[in-house]
Amino acid sequence: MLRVEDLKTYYKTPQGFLKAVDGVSFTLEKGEILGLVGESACGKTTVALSTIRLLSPAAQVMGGKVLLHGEDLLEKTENEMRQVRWRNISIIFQGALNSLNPVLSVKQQIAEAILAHLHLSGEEVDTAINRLFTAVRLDPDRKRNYPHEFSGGMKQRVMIAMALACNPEVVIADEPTTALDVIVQRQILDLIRNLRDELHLSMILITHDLSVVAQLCDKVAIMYAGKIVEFGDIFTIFENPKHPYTQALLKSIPKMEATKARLSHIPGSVPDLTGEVPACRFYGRCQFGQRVCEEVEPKIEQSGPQSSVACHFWRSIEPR
Amino acid sequence: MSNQTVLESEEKYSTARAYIKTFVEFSRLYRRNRMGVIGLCMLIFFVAVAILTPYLAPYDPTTTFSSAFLQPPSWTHLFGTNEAGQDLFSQVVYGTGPSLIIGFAAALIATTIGTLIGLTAGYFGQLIRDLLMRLTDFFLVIPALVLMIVLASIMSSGLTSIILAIGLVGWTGTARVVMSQTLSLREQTFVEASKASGAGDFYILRSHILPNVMPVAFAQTVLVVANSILYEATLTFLGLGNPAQITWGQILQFAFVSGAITTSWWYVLPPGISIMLVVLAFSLTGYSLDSIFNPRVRKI
Amino acid sequence: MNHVDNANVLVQIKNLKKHFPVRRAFFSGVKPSEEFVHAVDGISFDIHDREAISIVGESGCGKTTLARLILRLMEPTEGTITFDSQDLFAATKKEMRKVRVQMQAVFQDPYASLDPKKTILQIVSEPLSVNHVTKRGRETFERVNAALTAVGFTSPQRFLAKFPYELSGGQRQRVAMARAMAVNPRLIIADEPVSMLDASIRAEILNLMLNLQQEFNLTYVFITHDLAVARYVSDRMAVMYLGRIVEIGPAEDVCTKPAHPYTKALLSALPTTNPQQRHEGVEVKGEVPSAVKIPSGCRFRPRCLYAFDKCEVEPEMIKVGEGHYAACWLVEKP
Repeated sequence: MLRVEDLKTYYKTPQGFLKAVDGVSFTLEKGEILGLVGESACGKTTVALSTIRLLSPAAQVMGGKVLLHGEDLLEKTENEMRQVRWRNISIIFQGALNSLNPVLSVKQQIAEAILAHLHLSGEEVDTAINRLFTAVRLDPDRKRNYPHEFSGGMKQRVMIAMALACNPEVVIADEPTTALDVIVQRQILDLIRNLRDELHLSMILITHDLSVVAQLCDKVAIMYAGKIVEFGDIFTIFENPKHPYTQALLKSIPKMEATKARLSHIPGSVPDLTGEVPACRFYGRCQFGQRVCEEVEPKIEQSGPQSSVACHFWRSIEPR
Repeated sequence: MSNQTVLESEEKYSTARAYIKTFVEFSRLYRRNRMGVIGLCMLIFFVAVAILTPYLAPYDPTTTFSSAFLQPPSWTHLFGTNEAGQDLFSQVVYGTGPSLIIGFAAALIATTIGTLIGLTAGYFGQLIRDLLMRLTDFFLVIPALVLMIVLASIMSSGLTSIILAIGLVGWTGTARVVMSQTLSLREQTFVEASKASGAGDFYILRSHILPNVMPVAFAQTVLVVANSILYEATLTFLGLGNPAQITWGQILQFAFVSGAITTSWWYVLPPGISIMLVVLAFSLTGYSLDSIFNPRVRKI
Repeated sequence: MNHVDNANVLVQIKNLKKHFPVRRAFFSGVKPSEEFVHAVDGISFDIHDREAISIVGESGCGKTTLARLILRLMEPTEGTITFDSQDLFAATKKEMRKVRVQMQAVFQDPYASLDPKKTILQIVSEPLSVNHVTKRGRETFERVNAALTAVGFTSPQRFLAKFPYELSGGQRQRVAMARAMAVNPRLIIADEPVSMLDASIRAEILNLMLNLQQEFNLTYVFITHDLAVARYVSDRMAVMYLGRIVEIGPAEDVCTKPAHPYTKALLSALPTTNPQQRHEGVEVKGEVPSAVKIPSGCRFRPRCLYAFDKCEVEPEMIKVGEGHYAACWLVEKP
């Protein structure tokens, strides 16, 4: 349904081009929740903003295709994109809790979002907002309240309601639970799953938290330094990760279920994407790195019926 | 070299290296702002004129040329002559140094007072802050020039009284800026960490708050200098200065007193334009410094 | 894992309370200073020498305020804290100085806890100079180098002249630890030390802290909202809710055999790291109430699914297991 092919987005900096996203491809089927996972500055937010063309002026899409039902969104004009935004794809931005206008009631803000894209009468808008509030498990009577009268979790629900205002097919959620407490986070995640089941939503969930992905997603794409290093079905990736980065990442998070074995960490740090980067971006931190990793970029290959990986040596790396 | 000398010199070396690095980074940032660079160039020009005065001025400014009273500009007298027959070009050149110095000195006093008041008001409790802010408001409400005139007339006329008058009145802008910066710095985690390490209030003010407040205060200072030069010119023009000291304001005052102000444009224009250019130079520099240092203005 | 061999009590906290007055607008109809935010509302527990205890809770539960009180960065409304038999809040400046050297802190934000205008050398040497532990010069220099080496910088001299902005988040947090270690403290209070770091760096810092504990016989108070991290790092765990401790005990027991409904809710709300083991969260009613109007009786009552009549009375700490206590009447029920 949504297919991203070889997306490249670069930022212009005084030091040169920062290759934030450098050849990213993935697919999203209807009713699927795809997790886009990576640590900070790996490019995941840039990918999201590129698909709906809301990049800052310093960023430029340098290549690739974003195909929604076969149509390339990158080819559309700004006017055409405005039709696509919110009606076909909507987004919940990072730090959404602070994106609500404090001087308007939430009803006014959601109404604004609706009316910007659909021509509805005042009454229809009202009904729509009631329906949205119920969908996100908020009391519709509270729609006249102001943002400061809501708690963090409730504000996030409002943001989700806003994203659903025009019945989009795809919702992109950028770190939707990062600022929330554990219990509220769980409620929001459960809500997202229920919405997916009820509305057949497709979703791209951007997060750095692997446990959120494990809890909620059907597919996962692991990003590192602007590239997808592993992609596939959630169970396969978690049980049998093929890429050294994925393996290392899984080994470095404290788990409640596991025994108290020592966590391992990944030495070194992410390469500077403005300068010279090794062909495989993970080279230098990878315990299996060889000369060829520095010079030849690994291509994404099928590693199983539901998974693919970009690594020269994935076949020879021992499973966990 | 013994081990301990190596270690000691290492310590000094590393801190020096760090500050050099900061300066290089800063000048790189500054160069990006075209207006600021222009302002800085103008400043350097005027400072050069002040330093090289004896070489630039063709004549001694007090020498009278008995045949040439109120002559318009000519090749012998580039800016013409005044009613006493003195070469105006030399006078303007000689006036550069004092005008700048008075501006600097007054601004130094104003900024010191302003920073001290701002730090105290911002760091300590509500009561002190309220008191000091009311004081600041008092000075803000009364027109600065009026207050300066009053102060300058009370004291004996001359350089020092002008400097003091400007300095004692012009600190309010700095105080406000420093206070607001201090207020926000006080809540920063590194201040908390310092307290947890065992630091006392004065150490924190001196060692953490002041260095972080300096950039903003410095940017303000540059603007205060611009204002001070203008105020000096005004006060001297009003006759509160020392007639024996040549400053641009003084030249204008003589122009006014001698009545030449309506007839001889060459008398008025050069000092007037000089004042304007210097103030502009300081303002441009000050604003671009502010845009680098002031976290709210910074667009980076 | 480090066991509590020496059950000497290092810090004793008794009935600690901190109430912040709520400043209301003039016309709100409420008399000023009648309403308080009960940030910390009656906390009593011991910290044993050389143990790592974590204080766990959601935002607003008061754990950060508790940390500030232990560090004496604020004065309590009520209660005492004793450090090595020294009453903290009654201490003179001189006595406080002696205590401060033994008690250091690491904060959450590696970007904000280091003064951006100071070099690493100046930052790490600050506790030494402020407490007059060493004179400027060679001794300071050596101790700073030793501290930086202890936290994992292999050639510390390279970093002395650097500014914080030149370091990565993980490196900055290590500098913060070096700063804490420079005075050879006995107790380190870490307030969410890894929550702002990337996943792969977290493990590095957590392991560092564990190593330092073993090497230097440190005592840790670990404040966090992340139960998995708390379990990894600590021997004992205390769960806070609305200013009180609701459960305390060995970390393993609290995590595998939670007794208080709130602890159970927290644990079940944690997202799993194994997609095969997705489970339903324990239902909890409503939202966290404001700390101004604390519910009467058991403060968790309005949200608890199992509340019964006895919960009208505020529960005491009841023993659930060896060293394991929970403030819940349900524990008594057969």
